Amino acid sequence: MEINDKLLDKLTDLAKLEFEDQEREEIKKDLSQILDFVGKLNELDTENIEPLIYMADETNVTREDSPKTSITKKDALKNAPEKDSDFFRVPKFVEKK
Amino acid sequence: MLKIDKYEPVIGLEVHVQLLTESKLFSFDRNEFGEQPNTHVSAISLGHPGTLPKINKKAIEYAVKLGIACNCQITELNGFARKHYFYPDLPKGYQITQYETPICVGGYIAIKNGSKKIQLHQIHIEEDAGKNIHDRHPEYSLVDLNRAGVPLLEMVSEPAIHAAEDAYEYLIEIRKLVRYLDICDGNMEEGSMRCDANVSIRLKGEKTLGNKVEVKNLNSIRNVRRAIEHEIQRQTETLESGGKIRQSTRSFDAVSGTTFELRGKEMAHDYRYFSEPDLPPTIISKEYIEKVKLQMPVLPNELVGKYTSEFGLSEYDASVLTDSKEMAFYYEEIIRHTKNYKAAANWLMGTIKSYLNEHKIEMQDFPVRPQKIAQLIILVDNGKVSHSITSQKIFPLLVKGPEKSPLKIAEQNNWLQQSDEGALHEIVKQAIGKYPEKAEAYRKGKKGLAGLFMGEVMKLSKGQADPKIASQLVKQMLEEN
Repeated sequence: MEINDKLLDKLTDLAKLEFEDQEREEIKKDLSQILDFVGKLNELDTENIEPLIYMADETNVTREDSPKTSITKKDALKNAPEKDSDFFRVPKFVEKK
Repeated sequence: MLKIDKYEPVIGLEVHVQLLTESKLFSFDRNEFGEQPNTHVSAISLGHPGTLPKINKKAIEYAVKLGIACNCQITELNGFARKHYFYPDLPKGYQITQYETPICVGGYIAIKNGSKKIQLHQIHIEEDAGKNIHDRHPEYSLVDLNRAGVPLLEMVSEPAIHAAEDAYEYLIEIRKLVRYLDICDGNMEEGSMRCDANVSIRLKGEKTLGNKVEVKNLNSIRNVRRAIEHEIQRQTETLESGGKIRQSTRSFDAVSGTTFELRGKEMAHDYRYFSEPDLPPTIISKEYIEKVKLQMPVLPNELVGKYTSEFGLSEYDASVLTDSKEMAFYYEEIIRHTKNYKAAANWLMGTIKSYLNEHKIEMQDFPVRPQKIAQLIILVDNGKVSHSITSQKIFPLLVKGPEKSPLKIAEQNNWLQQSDEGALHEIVKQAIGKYPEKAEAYRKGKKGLAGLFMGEVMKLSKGQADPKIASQLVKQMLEEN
């Protein structure tokens, strides 16, 4: 399946990614190959077949409503690229008035 | 003609109800408001790779409760779905919600004392996102994930509301319901109940819907009404001046009472929903639903029905009494001890409510137990104490010393009415003896003078004579003389 610029624009927009022209050409090629590969599945007739969602037969795997503390604030913030002593920090993204 | 009459508003509401569970929807971290930022978190709510969600039983139970209360159909096979979007308060990059199998389908919320039904489309379970804070740092937005993963029920109405006032009443009823069910504190100001309004208008008689505008940031029920009123006005003016309504998302500004555009809908959202494979389906059996039904508290509309048809109270009284769960349950407790329903209602809506207002306290903080109020009513009904003595004298003492017995208070202060005929006899005799000419005039036919003697009797008895018995005695003794 061919990936055109319009589709790639939509995908990069959804993924919030940006690519240089050279990279775009490569990605178009890669995506196209991936789609062709999984496209093989389209050859199967799946009419009247329920989609398979769960790999196990289990149902009603539930949890009691009892809270516990597993990590501290310090640990929670440990791997964040940007943080202060209380918060994760991200580039400002206020919605415009 | 009024331009506004030319159009019919079509309103649909999305209400998010934050559940009062102790832990989060898919993880065990605490669900609690007001803690230090990023303290109620876990590897799951932080969206770390390799973690798996596991659903909280209580959240399912609460959803089923609300579904039963709204007369919804409960879905047997419940699955979850991933709704994808990128936002800093959503660490996983997707929100777990229900897409194809919402837990409750259909149903309605009754408004206007049950005379109008607002149809529900569905109620589904989903997780809340964290909180972004934009005004504390010049370059950064700050993210607090305490709220990430908190359980929500989203109640989606059909686009079947046609007036801002109905939307207002719909929300009042939902808030009342979740509070009776004890599944949410219903506080819109604090965000534990949230509402987005979809508003469009169309020419009357038109079947197709106009372009809709979604209004966000509505932090009180009153503001929902204001925002809808404004939108109807704005859209009407736009169409009347030849303009078009842009499908868009707008924000409500509570100060000016107007809305402003946040974003257009040129690029429709593409959430790329797919089934959440990490959560096995939850099956809700008929037996389970029956079990939950047995635990349901009595609901406000049932109480209103009982009060008006069985107790003979007015619709107004019934709606005031059931306005809050605390008030209704207090009333229910009083009437376990006395069958004087009207007096119980009057006490609660009169003396007690003014006391609460005056002291700015809530029903649950009112110190006097309902049984004591019932005792006051019984004292009056048995002719032991007059109503004015109970409400003006005994009640204030009872509030100060809630453990005291109303009867003891009356006895200690000598407030018991004299219904003992022997003692009264003496007083009436004195009263008549004081005005012999008037007594003579009475016997000659000036029956209106009975009031004068009654007044004298009350004076002599310091207001403690039982008025019914005293008045009989006065008439009887005047005739005899």
